[in-house]
Order: sequence, then structure tokens, then C-alpha cells
Amino acid sequence: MPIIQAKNLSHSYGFEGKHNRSIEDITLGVKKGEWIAILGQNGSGKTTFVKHINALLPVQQGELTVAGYDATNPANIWAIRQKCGMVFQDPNNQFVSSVIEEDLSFGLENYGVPQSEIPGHVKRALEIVGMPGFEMKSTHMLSGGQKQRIAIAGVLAINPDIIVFDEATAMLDPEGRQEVIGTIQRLHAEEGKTIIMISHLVEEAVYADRVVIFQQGRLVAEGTPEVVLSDVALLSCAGLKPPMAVRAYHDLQSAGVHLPTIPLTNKALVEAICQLN
Amino acid sequence: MSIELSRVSYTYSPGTVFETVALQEINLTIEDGEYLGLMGKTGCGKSTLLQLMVGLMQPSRGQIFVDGKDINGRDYVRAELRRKIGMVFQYPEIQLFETSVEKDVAFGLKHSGLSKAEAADNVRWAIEIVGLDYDKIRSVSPFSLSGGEKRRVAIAGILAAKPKILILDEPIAGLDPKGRDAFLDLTQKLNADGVTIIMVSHNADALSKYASRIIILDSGRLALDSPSKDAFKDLARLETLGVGVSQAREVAHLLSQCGFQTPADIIRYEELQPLLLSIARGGHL
Repeated sequence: MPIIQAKNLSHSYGFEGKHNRSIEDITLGVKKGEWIAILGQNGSGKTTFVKHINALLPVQQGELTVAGYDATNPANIWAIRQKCGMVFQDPNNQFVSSVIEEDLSFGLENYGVPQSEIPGHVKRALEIVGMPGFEMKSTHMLSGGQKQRIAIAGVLAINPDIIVFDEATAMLDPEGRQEVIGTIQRLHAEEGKTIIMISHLVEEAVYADRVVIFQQGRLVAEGTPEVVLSDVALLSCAGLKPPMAVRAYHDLQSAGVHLPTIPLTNKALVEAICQLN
Repeated sequence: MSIELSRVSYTYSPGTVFETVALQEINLTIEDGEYLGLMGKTGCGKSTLLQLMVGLMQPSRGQIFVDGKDINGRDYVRAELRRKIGMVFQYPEIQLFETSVEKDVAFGLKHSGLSKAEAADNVRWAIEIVGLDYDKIRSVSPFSLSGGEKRRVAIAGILAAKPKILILDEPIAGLDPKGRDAFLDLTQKLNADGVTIIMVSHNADALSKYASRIIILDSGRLALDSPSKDAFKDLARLETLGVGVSQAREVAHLLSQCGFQTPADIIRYEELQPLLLSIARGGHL
């Protein structure tokens, strides 16, 4: 049984009397512990889709189950939100308190966790994101990467099975980006979390188990990073660009140099070229 | 001479426990028509520097001259600075507020002294240059647009005043690859028309391709100032400065680690590609 199962999911936003289909007929199953990367142009429906997964948007049309709960039943909203946490783009917009301990306790208090148990959950969440001992620090003294890790810790405190990242690295410097990607990798490998990650960076999608592509509200392709990210025609049709290594592979090929496999990363590209010699 | 900073320092909350030195002794001259990339870790002082340049804050010490005039001088007319410099903040789309795209873009021109017809021309030009269809979009609510479109409308609102200097703080964060390219091409086009571009970004690929000069700040000090071709040579130093390099530079570096001789000033794919070919064909040492 998949942890997320969407069937023919559609959603429209109403503006000025007109209805714009934002997503149309999305069918996708996600296995427990899987890491899915969602790519697509701005306005392709990625965020609208993931907002259904933690019940920020109600299901208008189609079916959706999340961690065994039927998302079409409004009575399940809180249960679903507890099973699925979400981390957004701007680290500064996600704090509810200026002291980290209070910020991380907020969600737990709302779920009625006994006061005596809260510090334990907070401590563990900070350990998982690699920031133990930060309880009494102030949120505005943190770097961008640290802020995003605190946002992740806030989600982890409630111990969800699924974590959705909506372009969570877009605003970070290279160091912060690496910190967040490293944290996601650990959540996936060590904590067994199911990861749904929206990104505009194909270099980040390489780490996923499966890549899904949205175009004009439809799910137009899915498959392993090796298959999807090397398909230049598909990516370009969806308004995306392949990793530079894939571009180099094709340029070499048209110049008569054949690499044995299509490299997705710069490291793999250089290794393949070194082996030719 | 376009912008000149002379020994500029800035301290937040001086004299309190929160006292933070954001900038120290910055000397910098930016000439007309330059395309400058400003890089550095979060918290290194980039945004503070931009806010000082546009006169939103006054330096704690030092002076800032725009076209030779001290912008914090007693008799300086701020309106002159506002006309010359356009500033695009991070996520400018959150500043949209009008009921139609056309009204939103036109708002900044209200007190510009332009005639109605001139203002209308500027608005049409600005909406078109950011790649939107004027006739289709002019009466649409900006809030019904997609994220990428909203950003373009917000930027059109800045461009409508035809600033001579355009300052952009992380303008491409959150844009998809096509939107990113389209936006960067727009900055290049404006630059070719004589607009000075100053752009803060963490995206080394973008700055390697578009900027002609790179400046890196580190803990409030000017750590590097050089033509972009030379800015990305010393990888160890860049790492301590928290600055990434372009993909092409990374590949060239990895190749050099494999024993191939690669020039350290390769920063764009177009420069890397012939090298890759010659190495792959075995004709390169």
C-alpha cells in the first residue's frame, strides 16, 4: 500500500469569475520511504499538488489518500497534517517565535503533547538536523541554512512520516544549500522519511529515487533520475534544462566521442572522460 | 563615474548588546555600464551594501557618491537618486498591490513629472521588455498570475521609471530554468542599452555567464574584486568565502585533478566544451 496515492486529482483556482485549472488528472503513488523530486516550470502545478498532500488545499476532484487517511474527508485533516510536514522557500516566514525552543514547541503544544514530553521531542528534532543545544538561541541570529534546518526541526518535532520541501533551498547560499540537502539525505537514509521535494535545480533532483515532471498542470513524465534527467527532448518540452553533464554527453556524441553511459553529475562526466584515456 | 564608495562602514544597533558590524571600510568604484556580480555568504553584508547604495540607510562612517555627488550630503536632492537607481528586492512580487497589471506598473511614475502619454509609453515598454503581452495582461489582476509572471510585473514597475542603474537582490531565486534565462537575457539587453547592472546572487553559473566583474564580501569586508574571468580561479579561497563556482569551472577543476592541464579561467560551458572534446579524443595532456 503506497503511503501517498493520488488518483485523477484536479484543482482549479477561481479568479474574477474565471476558473483556471491548476492541476489536472494527476495520478501518482509514492512508496513509504521513497524520495520523489518534482520538477516543472513556474505555474505548472507543483505547489498546488503538494499542498494537497498535507491538506492545505481540499480535494476538489479525484481521490487522495495520505498515510492511510482519505484526504477527501475533512475529518482527517489534522491526522494528515500530523503525518505530513511541509518546509517552504523563505526561511524567515516560517518562525512563530524568536526563541528556538518556543518555536519548535509550538506545533507540539497545538497537538496537545503533554508539557513534560515537549523538551524531549525538541531535543531529538534538533539532534536530527545537526543543531543540538540550540534550544535557547534566537532565530534571527541564524544563517539561512540554519534557519531552514530549524524549520525542518519544527516539522520533525511532530514526527511525520512524510516531509514536503517546496523549493526549500532556493534562497540559500551554497553552504546553506549543502546543509539542507545533507539533512534531507539523512532524513531519507537514516530516519526512513518519505521525501517529496520540489526544486528548480536538476542537480538536486539527482539524489531522488524518482523524478516526476509537471507541465501545465499535468504529470507528463516519471522515472529514475537516470532516465528522466537524460531525456533532453522531454526536459526542454517541459521548460527545463538537463544537467550540464548530460549536455556535454550529447555534444561529445555529436562530435563522434561516445561515453559508455549518460553521466548526470559533473563527477560522473569527468570519470567517464578519464576512463576513455 | 557612476557609484563611488569611500571608506564606507555600517554598524547595526551601535552601543547596544545587539551591536553588529555589517560593513567595514569598503572602497569601491562602479563605472557606468558595468555588469557587476556581488557574492558572499548569507550575512556577509551584501544587502546592507545595496541599501546604502540606494540611500535607504546612511553609512555609519564614510561617503557614497553617485555621479560625483554625496548622496548623504546636506543639499543632495534624494529625488535625483530615486530617478537614477532602480532597486529590485528579493521576492519583489510580494509588493504588488494594484487591481490591474497596468496600474501596478504605472504607480511609481505618478510623481515622476512625466506627461500622461509619456508615462503610458513607459508602462507599455516596461511590460513588453519583461516579456509579457501588454494587450493581454494590462487589465488582469496581478494576483491571478503565476509566480514567474508576478515577478516580471514587479520588475516592470521598476523599469518603467527607466533607471540608469539597476540593483537586483537575488532576482532569480525561485524562477524556473527558462524564467531564469529569460530574466538574465533581459538584464543583458538592458546592460547593452547602457544600464549599469549590480546583481546579488548565489548562482555562480549565472554570474559567470553575464557579469563582467565580481565582488565578494566576507564578514563585511571586500574580499575580492576582479574581472569575472579571474574571480573563480582560487577554489580553496572561494570555499572559505562560502562562494560556489560555475559547473564549467567545477568540471575543469575535476579534470585537472585527473591530471589534465586545464586553464583556471574557464567559467562558461562554451569555454569548457572544446577542452572536453580535445581531452576525450585523447589529444590533450
